[in-house]
Amino acid sequence: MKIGVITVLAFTLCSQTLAQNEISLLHPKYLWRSPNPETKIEFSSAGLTISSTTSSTGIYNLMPINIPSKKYDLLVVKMKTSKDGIGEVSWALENLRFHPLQSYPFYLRKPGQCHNYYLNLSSYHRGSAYINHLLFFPFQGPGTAEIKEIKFIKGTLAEKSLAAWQEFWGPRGREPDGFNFLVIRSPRLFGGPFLRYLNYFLLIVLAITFLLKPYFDLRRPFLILLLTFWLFLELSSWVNNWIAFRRDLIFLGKTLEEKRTLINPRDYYPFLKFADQHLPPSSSFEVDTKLSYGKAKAAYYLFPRPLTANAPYLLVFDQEINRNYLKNFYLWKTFRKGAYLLKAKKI
Amino acid sequence: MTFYLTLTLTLLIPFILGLVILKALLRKRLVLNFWEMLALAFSAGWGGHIIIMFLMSLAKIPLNFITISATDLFLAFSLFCFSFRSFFPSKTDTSFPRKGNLGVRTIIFIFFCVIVLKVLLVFFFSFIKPVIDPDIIRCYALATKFIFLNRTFLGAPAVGDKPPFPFLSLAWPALATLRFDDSILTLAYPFLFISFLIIFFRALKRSFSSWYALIGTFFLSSIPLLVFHASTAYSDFPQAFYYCAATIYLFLFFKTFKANKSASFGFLLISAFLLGISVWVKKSGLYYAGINILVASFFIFSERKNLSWEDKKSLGLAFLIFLLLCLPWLSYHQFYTLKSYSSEALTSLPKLPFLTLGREVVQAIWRNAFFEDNWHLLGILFLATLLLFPKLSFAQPHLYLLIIIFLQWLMIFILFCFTRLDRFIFDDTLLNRLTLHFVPVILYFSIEVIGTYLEIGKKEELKK
Repeated sequence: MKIGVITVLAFTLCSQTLAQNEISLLHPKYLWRSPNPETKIEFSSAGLTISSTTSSTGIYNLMPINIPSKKYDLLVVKMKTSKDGIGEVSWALENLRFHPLQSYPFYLRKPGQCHNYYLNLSSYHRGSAYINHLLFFPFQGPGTAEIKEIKFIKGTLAEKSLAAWQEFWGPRGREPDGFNFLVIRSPRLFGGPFLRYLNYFLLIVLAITFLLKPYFDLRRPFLILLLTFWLFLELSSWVNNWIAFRRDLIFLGKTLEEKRTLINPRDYYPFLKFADQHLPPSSSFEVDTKLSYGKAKAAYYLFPRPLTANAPYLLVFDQEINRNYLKNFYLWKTFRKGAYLLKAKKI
Repeated sequence: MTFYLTLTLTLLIPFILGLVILKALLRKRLVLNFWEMLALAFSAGWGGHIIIMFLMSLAKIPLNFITISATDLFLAFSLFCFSFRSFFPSKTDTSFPRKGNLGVRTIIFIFFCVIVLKVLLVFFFSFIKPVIDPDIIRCYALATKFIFLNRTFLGAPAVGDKPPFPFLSLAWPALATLRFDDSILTLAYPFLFISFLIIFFRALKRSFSSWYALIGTFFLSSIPLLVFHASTAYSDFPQAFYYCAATIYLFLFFKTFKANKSASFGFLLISAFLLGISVWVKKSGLYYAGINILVASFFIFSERKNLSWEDKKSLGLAFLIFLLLCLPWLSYHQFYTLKSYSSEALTSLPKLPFLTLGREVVQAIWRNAFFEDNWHLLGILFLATLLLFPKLSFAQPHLYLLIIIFLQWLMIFILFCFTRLDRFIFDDTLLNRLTLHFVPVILYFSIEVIGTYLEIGKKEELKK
């Protein structure tokens, strides 16, 4: 009897595997490129190696792949990375546009070892959609990734469950995203917020409890169920808190200046300190930077100096000096290449 | 060492002021539990301290540690002399939940530990790094730096018609320590968070058993958006705290009015004081205060036959306290705000597509209450309370809380449908923060109603 059951199961699994369609993307014909010219992309028998020593290592396929997301519902990536952190896949459909809602971040496992990552991209589309381009970041910042496999497959139940598990415990809805003061996102499951499923389920139970109230008093069991789910959600919140806690531990034992350097991108704070040391105490200034909130930060750290237009000083950060500026300003101080203080020719 | 000593004094001076204010307010009306007294003294004192700082700015007295502390302590001493006798009550309730069998004590212990851990987490996130959120840098921290450098609130940049509480609250630690350390600006908020938990617990403990009150408090301590805001420099958490604490005490006034008038007026005075402070936190505080005053007026009107001359005097005193507290700010700036939003709502009434907007508002509320993790399962808890316990929900005194919640939602609808704030519905930037201001009231309402149901069940079991 047992042998029979095992044989049937094995046959089912084998037939499922054989029937499974897959499209491997690990081929030079897809013209994998990087938006960053410093990133090296090499194909070999072992797979695809991406490396960069200075900046992030994103790659995208120049050749459209035209994959129906319903038919091939899982993206499987087998890779070894030089560091842990977060990897991310974004995709563009027929309109060829990448979109923040069409991105899938995932936690990387132990570096230096090969791991499989299952990404259920199809759950992000209600109808049928054709995926044409992928923008894949194996991790954030510089490093090396060896991709052994990158393919679209028709996922089995087990693979989809793995993808769901990875998605639920993934970064979306757990990592602090800079907008948490507006909304605390729910962890995601099958492309949607987990809370949606939980609340719909509880709404159904609530409706049953309400309708059966004249016959059975199910109010206490309902309240216990609610408390249980609340506790579960709180446990999930603790995971998020733990992530944020671990992330903030880098500030422990640091001086205020070191902390300010850490919370600002790159060396922006040291640059502002440099400007603070050189600018006259009451002079106004302008800032030219593409950093988000770069001007607001400069206005704050250099206060009480006012940030105004047509000011006698111009702070240029992570930009080369614009020729137009040189009509009215001259290079006054250099913090480093790409970060300068300019002074007006006529004050 | 001197820095930490000054930091302790930074907290202690408003606390002393609050303790004296509270004693002067309550006199012999109400004996508070020791922990509740600490929580209220700190929160009331911090509010009073901020108002003093604002008045000092108006009087062109430079804001520094010496001038502010001296004014605080002088006022505290004057109030102490005025209400000397009330400082020695006949008994002080210092009880802490220790009763119950092993199972109950285990539940109490587990929930207590979880709450303590959450509090520690709020402290960690508050002080581990300097302020960084864009709005804080552009507005609150920038104005705080101005106050620190110029020793006055007047003329601070980026303030506009915003009330001064958040700015002066952030500025006080810097003024006291003579150091602009932007990782300790939010010094007061984690302490207000603890105060909130204590106040919530004690309010529930008055009617229910310790384990139930603790579970209710655990719910409050676990609301994700509230916890997040308690560790930031945004003004939404203090607004939620002062308004909700004021509403809870107002509810206790309704609840105890017939059984113990002396205590009930004590609750009303606390409520009036906290509501007065809430007007200083955010512009919306003024509207919230209007809602509470309206509901309190309903209640007083319905109970007009049971009011003695003494009761009327206490009511007048509560209203006077509220008015005195918010009058300086009202006359300084908020009359304009009140007028501008109200007239905008009235004039835009025929112009805006409010039916379409109304649908958008409902969708946004639905999305944020049931799809995201702002409030955990509070949406379902509230719905369940209304559906499964309708008699208790719509019976007095719970009905008054329900009216307050209804009026709060109505206000959100009016704001988004009839003013130019409608754009903030589409980008999700305002709805959750406005909801945060009264979400603890929704939670309190649900816990109260369910607790009453469970207590009734227990009594029935005992009868059998």
